[in-house]
Amino acid sequence: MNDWDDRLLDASLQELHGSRPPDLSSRVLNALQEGSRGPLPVLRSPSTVGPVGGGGGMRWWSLAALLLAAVTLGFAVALGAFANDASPLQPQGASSFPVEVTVRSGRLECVVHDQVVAQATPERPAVFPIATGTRLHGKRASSFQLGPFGSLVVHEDTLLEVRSMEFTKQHGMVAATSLTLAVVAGVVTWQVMARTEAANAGQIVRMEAQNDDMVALRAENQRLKDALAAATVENQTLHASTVQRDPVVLQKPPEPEPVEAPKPNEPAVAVAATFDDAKYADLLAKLDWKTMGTVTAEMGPMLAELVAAMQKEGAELPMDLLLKIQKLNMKLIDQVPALLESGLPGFGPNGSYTHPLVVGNTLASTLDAAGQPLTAAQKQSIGGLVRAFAAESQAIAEASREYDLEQLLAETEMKDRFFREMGGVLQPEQSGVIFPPGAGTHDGSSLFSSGLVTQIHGQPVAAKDAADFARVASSKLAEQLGLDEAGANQVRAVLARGVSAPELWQTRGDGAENNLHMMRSGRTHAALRAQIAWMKQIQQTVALTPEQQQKLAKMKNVLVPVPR
Amino acid sequence: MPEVHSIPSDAVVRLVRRHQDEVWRYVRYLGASAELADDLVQDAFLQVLRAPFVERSDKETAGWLRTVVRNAFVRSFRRPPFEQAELDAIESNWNTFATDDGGDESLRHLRACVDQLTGRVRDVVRWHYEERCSRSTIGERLGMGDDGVKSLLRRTRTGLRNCIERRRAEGA
Repeated sequence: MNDWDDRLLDASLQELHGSRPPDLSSRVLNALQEGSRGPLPVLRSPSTVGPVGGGGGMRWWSLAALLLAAVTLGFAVALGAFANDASPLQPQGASSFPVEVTVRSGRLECVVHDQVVAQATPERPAVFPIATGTRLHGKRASSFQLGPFGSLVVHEDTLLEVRSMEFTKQHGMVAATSLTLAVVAGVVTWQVMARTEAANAGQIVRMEAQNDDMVALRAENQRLKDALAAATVENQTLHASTVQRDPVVLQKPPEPEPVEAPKPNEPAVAVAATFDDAKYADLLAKLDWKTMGTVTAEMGPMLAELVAAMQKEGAELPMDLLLKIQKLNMKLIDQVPALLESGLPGFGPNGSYTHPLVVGNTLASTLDAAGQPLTAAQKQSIGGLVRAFAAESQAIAEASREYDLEQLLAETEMKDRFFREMGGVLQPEQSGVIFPPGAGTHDGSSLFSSGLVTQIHGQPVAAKDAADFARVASSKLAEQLGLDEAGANQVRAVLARGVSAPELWQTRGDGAENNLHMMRSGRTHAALRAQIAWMKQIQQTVALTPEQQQKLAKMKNVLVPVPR
Repeated sequence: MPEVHSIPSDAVVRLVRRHQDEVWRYVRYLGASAELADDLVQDAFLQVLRAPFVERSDKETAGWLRTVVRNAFVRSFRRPPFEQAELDAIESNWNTFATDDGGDESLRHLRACVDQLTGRVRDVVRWHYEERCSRSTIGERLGMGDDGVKSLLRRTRTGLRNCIERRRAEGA
């Protein structure tokens, strides 16, 4: 291998690890408008470029949608069928890939070159042509499944742009393996394993396709459900025809075993909220409290089980359990768009989800589902707590602060008090339902904990000590804030001092932290306090441009030291 | 007063998105930093779009853009960063790597090869390229000197290069 070969491998490895070519089309367009014009270049006309013509005929993605219905795995399709060279609306520079989008609530548009080329609604799933530059626009808060990559929830007017997509080739078929999205505007929440993450404008979302085993399992599961539904219908038809033919002689057959047939779009049974608030009456009416309670009662022990399973030496991810949790969590995530639209105060989507009003009602319906309903006296006590803490929540959201993360700190400390006081009102049996054994040891392991909020914003940094943390974290910050080398070195020194407190380094990361990013309870909170202090130090000691200062103030992620 | 022309923006976007990845990778391969690569590639497109340029085929356009960006890269140094005699080797390596897709397939192979790495070699790749550790930091972790780490990284890249070629030959 000669020296140039070596350089080529070096540059390629850098690209694989994050140094990616950006989309320069906007920069070039802007520069063209600004600069003096010369003679016009002769560019090929779009209509003459690709084999599929422009306006009149069937669009290639329509063809893709038809073909897609014929394949089993939805996203594993022959690349040749779709890697069309160029229709007028197809993003250039990368092969497009059809991805099925199923919207559960709201509406999602696929935008290519400023034109809406497809849209998906709860009534009409759609196939989006995904390629570098494709944009996904949620005009209002929406919840949707993006092909094999998982489930997302976007705030109102959120714009996502596809930065890259990776593929593997197996058995002659091409399957998408990962998708990188840039959040251009708004906020997006998505689910990874058993946790939920969020990203804001300017941040990058990387989603991995579920592996083949899980996809095959899901396909097989769906096939069995379909077969069961068909058999049930056939059974009922035969039964009805027999009764009609000989209604007198026929004895009533034994009741069939209860089966769970698929019930798409089954309307939710309206259950009134236990604790109300006139300001949020619409929200309270929209949320499906029965589902919230049933799912929460079922999911709580599973989360504790998950964390316990990951504590064992050399533990592997319990995929069956993760699948069950994901399935249940989807039902909770479906409620998020309504929460976001309601304007309930809170730091990010889980901030709204853990608002005292939502928590109080979820607690009541969870206890109902578990057969341990609140007594009238308990309802009165918890109603008082909900009102008091909702007022405090509003005050925290409205307060003016130097750093966004200061709101997260104030909110989580308030919610810790709320959960503590609310827990004090419960009987031991009820407490066992709401706080099952093992729940709350890690962020995200309890649905009644401020850890739900911190889990989304915590970004673990594995390090052996403060200096090691400072090296990795300063590199991330330098990239995020756009610092030069001198600035990055100054930040590194501040960080090394800022995270030197022994309590940050006492306990090594365990299986749940390293594999599921579910931090030990209290770790993210301690890191958050330290971070606000070192952010102030950076502001005072490092020469930042106004733009860098603003980026620092708007930071929403907590860099959490996880001792190796 | 200069005459103002209006270039159809969708045509410009199409041209840029078609070729930007390859041209950016190429100038990074020559040794440009990511930031310099952004600027040089943007300038290369502007130069092409402002010149009496006729788009004939993707291959010709890519070749033209590479030449423009290479010249701009060389001009950014007081002394040329490589000898003119090396140009053949540079282009030959690039053509093998980029084939007809600007290097996408080679990168896919490389990712698969990296995924197969194990043990110390996997660690050294992660530390150097993902965590961006210096050679001395890696050396401390592995109990090696700077030169040892440098050799290990180079041997690893050679192994990865062979792996890419093997996968390409197998049609993986």
